[in-house]
Amino acid sequence: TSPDQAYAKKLKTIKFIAVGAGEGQETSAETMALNPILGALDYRLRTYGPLKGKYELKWVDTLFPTADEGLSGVASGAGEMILTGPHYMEALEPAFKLVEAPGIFESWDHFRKTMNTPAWKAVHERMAKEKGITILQWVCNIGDYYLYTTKGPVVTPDDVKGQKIRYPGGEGFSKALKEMGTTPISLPYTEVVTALQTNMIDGLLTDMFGAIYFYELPRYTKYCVKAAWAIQPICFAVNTQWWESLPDGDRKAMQDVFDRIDVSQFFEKATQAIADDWAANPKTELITVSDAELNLWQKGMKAGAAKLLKDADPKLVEAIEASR
Amino acid sequence: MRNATSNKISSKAKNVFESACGIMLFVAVTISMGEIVSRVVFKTSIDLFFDFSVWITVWALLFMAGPLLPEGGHIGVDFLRTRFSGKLRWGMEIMIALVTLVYGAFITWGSIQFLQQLYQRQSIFPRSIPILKWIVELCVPIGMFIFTVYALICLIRAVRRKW
Amino acid sequence: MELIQYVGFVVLIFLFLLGTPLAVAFSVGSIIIMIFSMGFPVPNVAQLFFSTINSYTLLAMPFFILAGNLLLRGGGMVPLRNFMNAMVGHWPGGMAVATIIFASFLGSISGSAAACLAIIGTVVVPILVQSGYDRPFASGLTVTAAELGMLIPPSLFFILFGAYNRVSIADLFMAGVGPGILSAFLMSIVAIFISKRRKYTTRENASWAEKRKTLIAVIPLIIMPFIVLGGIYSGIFSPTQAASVSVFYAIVLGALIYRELTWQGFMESLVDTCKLSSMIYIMFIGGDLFGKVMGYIGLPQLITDMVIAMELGPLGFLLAVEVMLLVMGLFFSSIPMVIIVLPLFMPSVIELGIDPVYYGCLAILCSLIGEITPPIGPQLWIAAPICNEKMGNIAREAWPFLGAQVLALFLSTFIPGIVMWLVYLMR
Ligand code: NA
Ligand code: NA
Repeated sequence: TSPDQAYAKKLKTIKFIAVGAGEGQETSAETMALNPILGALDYRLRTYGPLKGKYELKWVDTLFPTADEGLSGVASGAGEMILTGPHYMEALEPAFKLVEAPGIFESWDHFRKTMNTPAWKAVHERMAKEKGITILQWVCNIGDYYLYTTKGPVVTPDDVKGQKIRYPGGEGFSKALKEMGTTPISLPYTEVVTALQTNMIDGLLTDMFGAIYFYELPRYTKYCVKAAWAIQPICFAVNTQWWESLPDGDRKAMQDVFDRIDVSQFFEKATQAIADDWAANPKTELITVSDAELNLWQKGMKAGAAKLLKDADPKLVEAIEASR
Repeated sequence: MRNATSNKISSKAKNVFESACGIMLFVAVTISMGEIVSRVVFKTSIDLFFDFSVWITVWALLFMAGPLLPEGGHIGVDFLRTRFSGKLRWGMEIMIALVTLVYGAFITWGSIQFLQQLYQRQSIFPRSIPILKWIVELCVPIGMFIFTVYALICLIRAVRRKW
Repeated sequence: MELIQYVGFVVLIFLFLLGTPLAVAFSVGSIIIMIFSMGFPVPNVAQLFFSTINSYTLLAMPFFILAGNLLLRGGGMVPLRNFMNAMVGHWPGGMAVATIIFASFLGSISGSAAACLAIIGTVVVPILVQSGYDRPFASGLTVTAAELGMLIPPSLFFILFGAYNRVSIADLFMAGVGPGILSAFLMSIVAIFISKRRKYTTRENASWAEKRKTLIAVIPLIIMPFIVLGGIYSGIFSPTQAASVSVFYAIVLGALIYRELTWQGFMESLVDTCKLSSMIYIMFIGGDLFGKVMGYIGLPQLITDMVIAMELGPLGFLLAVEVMLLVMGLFFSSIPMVIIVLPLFMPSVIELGIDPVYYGCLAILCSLIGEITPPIGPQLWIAAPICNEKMGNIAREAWPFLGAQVLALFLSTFIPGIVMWLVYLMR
């Protein structure tokens, strides 16, 4: 063994659990968001005095088959760190169901304000204490959910009636889509591209980044209706037990990275740029809706979320309303 | 005489068990077919159609893993093993059965621990009707426990047999 | 690599050679590395046990096997075989050619090579032996012909590849047709050549009346691919769901048309399917754990980086990838290869302007060949008990047919039209 290797042996490995993306790739909004932050953390671990020589950051992308299982793995200590979102945390903490339900959060700012209310801070603490997941930072909104469809033009919910629309799970979406007279289909994401090509589905709900980088929708769906259904925030999370076992100084030095880097502005601009491309592309059509038309869409969305809001802890709902 | 009767009973029990697994698989196929009918005819489709067909299949297949052992259903290469006989072969067979037993017991033990975690966290599969994960994943400890029992039977047989 | 990682590999190889069930050998070796080198907690090993097989896409496999078993017991296979024989049985090597055509047809209704293998091995091998072909030849032919079932749509591997890389499965299916037919054609030439040289007997030319009679008997079966593929391409059901449609169609055929499917046969089909699928699922877990360990150590990445670093043009890149996949295919089983190794090249594929469908089809053809090549050839292992022949003998007789498949692979690489013409036609 060389001295380098002997030295490396002493490092404590921090495993960052990634799902479905190779190290250094930027093929999704998630990787675009986390690469600069993880890069900064890695640099700090290697060079910043108090941390130097103690930790190494390792990107682990082949262990867990799904983001859901990855989060579960971090909760029980199979990895230390992960980028995740309410969609997955719902498996651990039912309150997060509200975050990606249609018609509830209107913007990233609204969401961030809400997360800082005492009621929602309590949710965070409860999750850390009872479920083993501590959120270090809400990173950004990787894009609002829009409706993409092959059949159009779609301007109001009436135009989408009778279409088969794939939604990413969640009863709020399902109810809202039904309310608008469509057939909601919760097809596994792996089947989406094929289903679009064979017309098994007419359209889907997804975000701008997913539309471009994940599904390459311009090849399949012509229309994007620019009425936001829901936001899609993502966060850096760690295994609570590991995080609290760190010496205070080390923990603070790592937390600093997350507190200092804000990529959310970048994502707002990038999403807008993709929308502009969608409008400029002669093969695709970006449908912008007037306030009156947006109201019609929101009526359907709110109807979908009504039951969720009714069943939720009133304090959480109050906090959402108060933060508007 | 008594031995023959008990053998008959155990082979009948095995048949019933295997048939039950088979029926589970058929139920899974039917549910998958059900989604097509529900979507095309009734214009409605829920996520659990997809999940239930997967889960029921996984249950059936994990349960079947054990009964497969004594019939040599889990393939391995035998070009080396079949060249030996006597004490050495006996030792090899015991070693195989032992490793298989340890593997089964290890997974059973590990999955019980993992299920405990899922239970404590009350983790769910977030679907249109939330489903508790630990209930769905109960098939791992049960299936692998059955596997371990059969591995033990194989070990006993291997010890007794002369090569 | 650390010492404990070598220990894990040595244990794996030792258990493998000892004859431990493959699922166990691969799992134990991998688990040692996961726990002692990767610091993976024991409960999470069990977590992977469930999460690996909790996959909707994978479901197509047991369902297609079930459809195959039901067809086998439903009575439709004998008329089909008779039809093939009546058509080409009088040629030198005609029965062998009929087997290849039979396999291609089965391929168009089944998406699993294991299912095709089970049917051909059970129905055709005994007939071939009775007609004077020797068993090793019949078995080698069978195991390679069954791979055609994976090239000709529907196909589990295309479903897996498309699902994990977000490439249209409908396109991939079309891409498989050309190389599938080409492979069948080249394999037929090899079969005829060997049959002539070994002087395998042929049957008399069937009369037109017999030909007509056998054709009529086989019509309900012949429309099955149109229902399965038609349903997929008209958007009524997904490729994965096509497997369950096949099951119900097979029940209709066996119960109402050929009327040989009994309650007992039905239950046997279910139990047999559970057994074969259980074995494959448990083996898949072992293979997947092994793949995860390899991924963690970084071996596949290392190899792909090497190929990418050679900075070849599209054609050179594809050839280099193919050679590499064929070599890896000797030692890997194909499902982990399709899920872990194939996606590693996707960024380069896109960068080089290669159509992902084209790459997917060629890469899967490589993986399929690897399913048979020893030492790690799952299809070969399954074939031994089904064909009732020694693995070594099957492998020996399979080589010429594998050669034909490799030739088809390289022809498809140099002439992209073979793969892509139907894709462009359908798009
Ligand atoms: Na096929
Ligand atoms: Na191989």
